[in-house]
Amino acid sequence: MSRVRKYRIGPVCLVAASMALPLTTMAGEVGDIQWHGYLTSAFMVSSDGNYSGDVSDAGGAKDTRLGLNISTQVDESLSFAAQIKGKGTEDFIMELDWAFASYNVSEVMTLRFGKIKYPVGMYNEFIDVGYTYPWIRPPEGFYNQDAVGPNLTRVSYQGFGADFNTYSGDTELGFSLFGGVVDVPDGHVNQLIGAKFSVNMEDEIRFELSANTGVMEVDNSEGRQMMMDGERHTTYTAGIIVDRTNFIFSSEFGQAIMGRKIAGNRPMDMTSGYAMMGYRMGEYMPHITWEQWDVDGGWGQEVIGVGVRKELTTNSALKLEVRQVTPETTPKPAGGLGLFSDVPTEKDVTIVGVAIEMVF
Amino acid sequence: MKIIVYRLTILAVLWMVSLAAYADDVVVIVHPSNTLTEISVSDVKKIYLGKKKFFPGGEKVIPGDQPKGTQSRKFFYGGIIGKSEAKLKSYWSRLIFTGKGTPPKIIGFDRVVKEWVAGQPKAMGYIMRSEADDTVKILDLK
Repeated sequence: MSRVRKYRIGPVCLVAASMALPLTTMAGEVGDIQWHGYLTSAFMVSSDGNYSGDVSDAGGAKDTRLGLNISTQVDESLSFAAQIKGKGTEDFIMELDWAFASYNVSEVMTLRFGKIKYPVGMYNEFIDVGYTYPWIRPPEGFYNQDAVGPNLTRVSYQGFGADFNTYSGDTELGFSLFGGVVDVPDGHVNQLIGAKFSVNMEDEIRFELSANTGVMEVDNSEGRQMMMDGERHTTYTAGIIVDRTNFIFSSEFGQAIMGRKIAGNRPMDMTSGYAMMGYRMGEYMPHITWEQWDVDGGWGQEVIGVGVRKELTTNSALKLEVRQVTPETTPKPAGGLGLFSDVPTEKDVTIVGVAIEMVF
Repeated sequence: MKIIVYRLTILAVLWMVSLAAYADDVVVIVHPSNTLTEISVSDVKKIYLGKKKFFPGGEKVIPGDQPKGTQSRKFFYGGIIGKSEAKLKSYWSRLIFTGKGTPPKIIGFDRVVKEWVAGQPKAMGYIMRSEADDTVKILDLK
């Protein structure tokens, strides 16, 4: 694990820490320092089973999290930024989320190196900052960071990034190259190399295509992870976000290809996609999401969710969400259905959540 | 329901029209030594959204902002930049929490911004037209 320092603290301490620090914007010029943070307080409960490892029928607040961010402009070209976070899903251990230096070679080109947020998926780089999107959790089939299987997204990687941005009129065209190594529980993804192309039309229409490849190295000699050891997997994603006046639409599709075959001689290739539509009515934004996630090896799920987001202030929001998860298996494996760690007795499992999101 | 949607639409249109009209009362200002006399709305948007770090002439630009709640800020972001406070917060959150950018420095109200721009050759600011004088240069928006 790449954790630089660990602190075991509870959610109360997280909030207390956020209140105690001088979290005011101090400046934006060379040599000055800016502090920012985000806070999510969430409760989720499922009607049956243990979902995604941390939502059970007893309910829980494991999506509660706090992040603190610091950035400084070293000179006109060089800047440094870092972020620590503590999440309920990770036992509220404060750890270094990312930390990297950026060098603006020109207005067109920026180089980055250090521990960098994984740039695949339109929400992944700020996935812990719930204020920035409609859901309590973005679709887990696409944004599943489970170590088992060829996932589309990861938390962060250690390595380099090169970003190129230019304009055609008011349309921003971006191209990114990235590479390095990814730490995952019980292993690493080595020889990571990837590219991303993006189009941004005045923040009203954003479009992205990405591809990356890496080789799994597994430290744990037990369990399903061992099947991945030494396997190369390649991932492709495409996504679009339309955010015009009051209407918002978001959709992504991804495929991860892994040569390794398992019982039944089926490859462990994975596909996932979702579509979300929402409409702002003053402070309220109701939304609906459909999601599908399939692993050829025998498990997957379909999710339909509805929710509403209410702006409380210009930096906080309340979210309510209900989703129905239908696990699918062909053939039925010995254990594990969809993203449930325990086989649910219900065909369709209902998950209800409430959250308050804040940035400061 | 139809009546409510109709009324909300009318209100939204009136609000946008009023912001566009009031946007004329806000001026973009730079230091008097700046050689520019005009700037495109597109460039102002890019500078205030962190997408452009240089004036069109190639000189480094330092944009200065006003705190939430001022009339100048309301007209500037509503009428020129085209973003509500909530959308602006969401936009900057996406950049801040990925380490890709930070918002312009909050300088203060109109008078403080004018004094800051008058003393900083790389500065850009916005104030109400009625507050501007010859200590700063007003850029024409094209």
